Amino acid sequence: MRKLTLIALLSVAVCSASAMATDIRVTYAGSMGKVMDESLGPAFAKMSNGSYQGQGQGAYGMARLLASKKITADVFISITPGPMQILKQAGLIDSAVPVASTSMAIAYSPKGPYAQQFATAAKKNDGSWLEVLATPGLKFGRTDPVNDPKGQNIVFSLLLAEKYYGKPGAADRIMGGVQNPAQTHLEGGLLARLESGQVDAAAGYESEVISAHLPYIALPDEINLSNPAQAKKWYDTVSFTLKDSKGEKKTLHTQPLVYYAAVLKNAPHGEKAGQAFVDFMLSKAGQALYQQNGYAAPKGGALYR
Amino acid sequence: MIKRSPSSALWLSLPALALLAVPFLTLIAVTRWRHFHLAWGDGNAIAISTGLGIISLLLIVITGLPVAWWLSQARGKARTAVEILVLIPLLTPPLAMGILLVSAWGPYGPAGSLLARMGVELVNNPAAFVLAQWYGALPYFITAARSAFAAVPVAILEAGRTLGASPWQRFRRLSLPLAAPGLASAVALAWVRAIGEFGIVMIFAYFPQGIPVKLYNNLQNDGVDAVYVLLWWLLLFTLPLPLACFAFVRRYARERQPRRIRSGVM
Repeated sequence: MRKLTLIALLSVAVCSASAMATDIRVTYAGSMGKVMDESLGPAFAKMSNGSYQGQGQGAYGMARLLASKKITADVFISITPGPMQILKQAGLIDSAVPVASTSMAIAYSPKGPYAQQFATAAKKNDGSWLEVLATPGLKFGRTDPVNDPKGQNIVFSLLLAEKYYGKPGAADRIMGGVQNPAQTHLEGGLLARLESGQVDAAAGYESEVISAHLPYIALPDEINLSNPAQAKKWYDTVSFTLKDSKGEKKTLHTQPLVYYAAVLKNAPHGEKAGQAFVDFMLSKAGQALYQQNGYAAPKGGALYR
Repeated sequence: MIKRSPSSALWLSLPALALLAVPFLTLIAVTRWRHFHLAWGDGNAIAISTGLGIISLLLIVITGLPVAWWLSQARGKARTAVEILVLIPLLTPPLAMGILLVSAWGPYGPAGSLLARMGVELVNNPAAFVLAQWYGALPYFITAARSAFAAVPVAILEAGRTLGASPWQRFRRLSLPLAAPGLASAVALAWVRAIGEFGIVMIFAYFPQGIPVKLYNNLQNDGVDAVYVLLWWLLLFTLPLPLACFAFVRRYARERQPRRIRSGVM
């Protein structure tokens, strides 16, 4: 009898606890792993007394898995509006709000043979880092423009940089082709190379470079793709082409480096739970955590509103 | 003669077989057969996976066979040391193995910088791809081939030695033919392991893009439908080799059987 009472009491306790708690499952652009899984996720779980599950991957792949309902999540956070568009077309979201932003940066290996030259170039504001990057034999790493927004963004940044500093041809000298196998890697591979000092420099978002405690060259707004106000009159002056899955050429344009969050209509823990997480990200506490991890404040307006 | 019926074993196999079939029956159902066409670059990925896969497989067999045979014959501390050396890469998750390969064979790594002095670079090129497959599949091949060699009766090898056969002759004339069926299975295992290798490849040799990396890219760029199509082609192109290995094992068993029965009758 005593046992039964205990079980009854326990189950009541568990039920009421789970009624108050908010569990959450968040999917996000792969580069956000640190801020989501180590800062925002645990902080939200603690606040709402629930559990947090985070899953990060290339933003486009994640969006497609969500759109085809192969995985479910309460919230999706993408970098640039591109991946969000896939969910919008699938009818899974109504709108998406900006929650943070970042900018392109060039991280360099602090122990590599070019560290000193990069450090000197970082102090000047004359684009001399372009010359350092173009040094023959220097190992530059970036992600693949074919499947990764960051891989596309570094191409735009280099094209803008050669225009801005008046050094025509510099972008091509550095990249050696848009998809040069010698320097394009998958996200994880590039990270492994950068952290183990196997590349001299790598393209990255300022947020992740700061999170990883790497030295980097900060780029002006005209090059770093962070400022939506520069989009029309300046960023859009550059573009490049890639082959799509049918082998046809498609022309790519820049998209602002803003992180957008959306609550999914098929949220397994309910849209209310999803909205609570988005609200938390926009709260003072949430924004402070973003800032601590090297992210900048959200820029521009909501999507599809 | 004892009458053996396979039916009870088959019944007991059903749970496993049903579970194995579920994802692939699903694949048949979800593939959009009317829109069945390769994405751009898929053909290239198939050629790379099978072409470089064959090269990797040859290197795996050539370098792995001596290790497997030696392990099957050796005793003592040296054998334990080699056993552990083979076990460690077997236990290391592919992703971690890729990171270790980058650290070791990258242009500034201890092994990579030696190669760099000779003008060789193992970054996203066919050699790096083959090396990734070699690391991924070799420990499996050694483990399976060693079991095959170990199954060769010691008495036969002893008899060979008493009759004056050299170690090489014992290997070539006795161990190799007697272990052939097991070795064929080891080759099949190494092949599927090398072809399916993604964890090491995605970190260490993203180019040239074989089928596993292309599957990942298809997911990113076109969604799951493009993955299904390429998966069908992967199965079509990579199944023949292990099937041929298994067919060899069966034929081998058939050829031996009559002799054994005959000797039993006598």
